[in-house]
Amino acid sequence: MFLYRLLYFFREAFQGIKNNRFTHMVAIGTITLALLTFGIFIITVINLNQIFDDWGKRIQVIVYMDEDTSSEGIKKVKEKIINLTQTENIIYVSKERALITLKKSLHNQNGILDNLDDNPLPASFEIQLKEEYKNLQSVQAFVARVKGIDEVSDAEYGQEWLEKFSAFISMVKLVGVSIGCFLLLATIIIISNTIKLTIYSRREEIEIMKLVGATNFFIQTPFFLEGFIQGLSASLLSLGILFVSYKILISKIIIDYSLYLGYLDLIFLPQKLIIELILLGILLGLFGCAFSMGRFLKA
Amino acid sequence: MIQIFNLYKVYPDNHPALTDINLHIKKGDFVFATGPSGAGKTTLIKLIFCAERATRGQIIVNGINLAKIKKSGISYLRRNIGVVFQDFKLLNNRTAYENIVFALEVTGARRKEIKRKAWQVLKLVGLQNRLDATPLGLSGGEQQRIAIARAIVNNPTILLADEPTGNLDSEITQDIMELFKNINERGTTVVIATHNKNLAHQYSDKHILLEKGRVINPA
Repeated sequence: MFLYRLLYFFREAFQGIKNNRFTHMVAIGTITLALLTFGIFIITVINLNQIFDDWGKRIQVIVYMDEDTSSEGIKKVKEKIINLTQTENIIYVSKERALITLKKSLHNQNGILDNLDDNPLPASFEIQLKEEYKNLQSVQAFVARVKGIDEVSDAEYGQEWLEKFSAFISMVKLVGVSIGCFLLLATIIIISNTIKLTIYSRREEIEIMKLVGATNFFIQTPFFLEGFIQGLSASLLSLGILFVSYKILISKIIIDYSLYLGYLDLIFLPQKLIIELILLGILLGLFGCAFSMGRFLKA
Repeated sequence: MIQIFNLYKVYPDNHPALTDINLHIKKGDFVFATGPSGAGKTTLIKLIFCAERATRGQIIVNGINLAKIKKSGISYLRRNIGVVFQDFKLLNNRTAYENIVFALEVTGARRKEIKRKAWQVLKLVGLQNRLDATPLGLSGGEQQRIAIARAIVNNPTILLADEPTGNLDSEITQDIMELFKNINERGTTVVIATHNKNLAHQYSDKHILLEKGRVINPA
């Protein structure tokens, strides 16, 4: 009995899709477009995040030593910094090494350094921080601790750049979430209106079903199945289009323009998000269906 | 079978469709509700199968008080009441056979039972050779026969018809009326709303004459 009913619901759902091909195609098209927009947005956000993460990895702290620090003192400072939990890697740059590096960076104009009686550059440490500490607050806390060491004269971390970068990331995240919410809301409104149209076009069928004594459960179930099938097909379709477009983008644009753009490793949606996007599509189909059915079943 | 006490129906635009109606239709009756258009015939039919709710008064159908029936109870009530309309209300994208089967499927009937009952009514209305035609491929009379078959396939105790011959010529009208009579003789109570007084007089002496929402001569 249960199996027979289930079979009936599926048969009705497929019959409904077959008989209302055009309206179903419009509904699937609408959900596909909405999910596509949403998917493009998510991919953009993911890739931007990736790029920012990359930039974030370049954060390093430079600690300058007092002029008269002995080699014993330098060792002590190095020990202290290594023992700090934030430290990943530390490189010592002696006064001489610093001067050589400066000369190299000046290329042809390094003659201006020839008249120096004394090496004015201080010895320093270049410190890489662990991943989890590469953010503004942690870097500031680390620098404050390092500055507290006696032999250290100064420490810098590209303050201005890091502050601007952090503010930018916060703004991008805020804008991203706002656009995401707006897109989702617009998607739901468009989908429920489209499905309302498909159900409106079948109000006669619903009226007749009610007339012959069908319960609301019997009337609704095939429509919900249709909503489910619509949502599933639309999400698979949009994922397919997204994937093909992504592949084309990778093979054409990135390779052709890598000279100008540098090496860009664009990523597709991770598996978890793919599943979530499919579930979102199904939910949108079901939600739009439930939302639109309500008024037709009231009487 | 159908008892109506002090029934009033006022539509939201304050138009009184029915005023102080009192009726008693007995089991096995063949009754006509007649009157000019706007007299309240359709409203009366709609109230009996709960497509409209009474503003005041009581309607008791098969012992059920419709004023107290819940939304979920309406579907079960309708399985005991067949309804036929002037415009047939068939699904054009289904065959004649599917239109009839549809009414059985929504009640959750078994497949064997569905087949047997569908064949029975198709034979009764004389359309067993047109089961694969869609409504658009059938004549008006044939469409109405399918609509009648759908209305009686669940063996309802009451059959309501609202101007069932309004779209049909006089010859077909006679055939359809004979069919209603036949169904009535099998025990079903039949209530037909029509503006055609002659037709009513030809087939029954039980008439409810309506005028401006009031009963002039109770049956």
